[in-house]
Amino acid sequence: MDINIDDILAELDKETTAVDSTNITQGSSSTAHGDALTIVNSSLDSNVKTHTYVSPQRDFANLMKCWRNERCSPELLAYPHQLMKRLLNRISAQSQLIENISMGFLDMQNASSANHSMPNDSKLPLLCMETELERLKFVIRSYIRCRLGKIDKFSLYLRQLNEDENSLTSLTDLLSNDEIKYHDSHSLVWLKLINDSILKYMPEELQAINDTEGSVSMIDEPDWNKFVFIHVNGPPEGNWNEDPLLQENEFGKPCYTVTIPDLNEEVELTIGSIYVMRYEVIRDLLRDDKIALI
Amino acid sequence: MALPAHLQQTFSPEEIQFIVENEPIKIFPRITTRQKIYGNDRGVKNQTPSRWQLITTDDKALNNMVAMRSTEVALWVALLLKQQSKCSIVAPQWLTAKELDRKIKYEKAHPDRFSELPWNWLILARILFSKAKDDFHDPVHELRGKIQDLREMRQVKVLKGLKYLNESHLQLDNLSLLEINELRPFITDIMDKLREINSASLTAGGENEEEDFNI
Repeated sequence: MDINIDDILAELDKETTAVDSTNITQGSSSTAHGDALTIVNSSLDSNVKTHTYVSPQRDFANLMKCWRNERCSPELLAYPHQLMKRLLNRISAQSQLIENISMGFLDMQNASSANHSMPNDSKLPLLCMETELERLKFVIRSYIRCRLGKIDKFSLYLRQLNEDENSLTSLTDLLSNDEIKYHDSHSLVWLKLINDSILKYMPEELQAINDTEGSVSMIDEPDWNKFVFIHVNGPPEGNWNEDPLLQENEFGKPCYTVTIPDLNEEVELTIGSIYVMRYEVIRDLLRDDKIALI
Repeated sequence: MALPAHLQQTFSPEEIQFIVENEPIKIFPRITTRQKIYGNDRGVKNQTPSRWQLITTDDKALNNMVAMRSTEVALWVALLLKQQSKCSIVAPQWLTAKELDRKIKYEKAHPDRFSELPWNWLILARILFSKAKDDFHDPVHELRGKIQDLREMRQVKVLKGLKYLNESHLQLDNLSLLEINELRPFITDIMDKLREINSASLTAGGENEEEDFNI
């Protein structure tokens, strides 16, 4: 189980170059899609290319949901690749537009169509658009910073997750390309520091940094049983009849039944209610978008 | 670059306000943005690009504002317009002296339950009191007093309820986001600790059956 620190470093070097090459291919495909601002390929899991239109409001609502879930959950949640791509595209298009308007490039067309417009009138929409852009940027920034915090915290755990071939979630689903780069170089720097300052001077059998065999594992895992506040939304898109997990409780209200393994206790989660629950218990429901963390 | 520690556990009140500001609210605009010449929306977009084009909310309502005809926009837009005195904000149904009196009565009559208020009531009331004072029909100081009464009554109930914290779960219906947010660190910490103690007692109980353990 013990891994030599030098092996890890050598392996990391290999990994970073591998990531770089995949990055380039991904980058070119994103520029190909760059023109399609709103019509995007939303096939995350399937290879079937279906073009669906996702309205800006919906995307923003999803971003807010992702941000709030990420802030409240103990683990790192999957990165919404398609959603973020769309949002970043919109941000750059919008800032371009704002710049054009504020520089007065579009005044020519404007003057011909609205001859009664006062200078004050055109300032207000601009002000509004700028405010909106800043608001959107704030959420994205806070979201990314929250994720970076978790990446730092679970650095070793993510590495282990990556090496474990049996694991269902791959690191590319969990992290964005930039986050993978950050994760790799951050853990590289960190390992180097630990190695140079402490581990070198230790006896060889104590040099491992990812020993899981002792009484306490050295790899920090997310606290799966941490209590979180949840709001039960019900099935996404309102497909009430198609959700097999949905049941009716004694009051005739729809609910999900979950079991707390440690206590052998069954709990009914009524739709529309707020609960404090162990994260592990409701993890699957969260992944299916049936509940939200608040 | 990661979030500062105090934000990793819970949201700040400002962030809660930010969340609330994305909710729609009814306004009476004082300006007209609808242009009759261009019938359909697409035409408007192409020909007058300097008008409202938003990327997080629906801009249709903003492009079709007619003075004194009520419409619904996101709260932050409403506040922006209000600041420029371009609209008046319509206070929601529950934010009237009569309605609040009813809620207070309910809180008094049911010592173990919370009245049904929207999830953003506290923040919304606070925002409107400070930014849109002149849009209320009832005197603001009265409303403010009632909101404060409601808040205190609910706080007492919450504090009384804390003794029922356990290691399994908790149901908190009708609590607003801000109330949840200020309780979050306390409740989750206590419940986490209770859970640890419980699971420790379970494993210890299994190993050496009826024996006492002192750690």
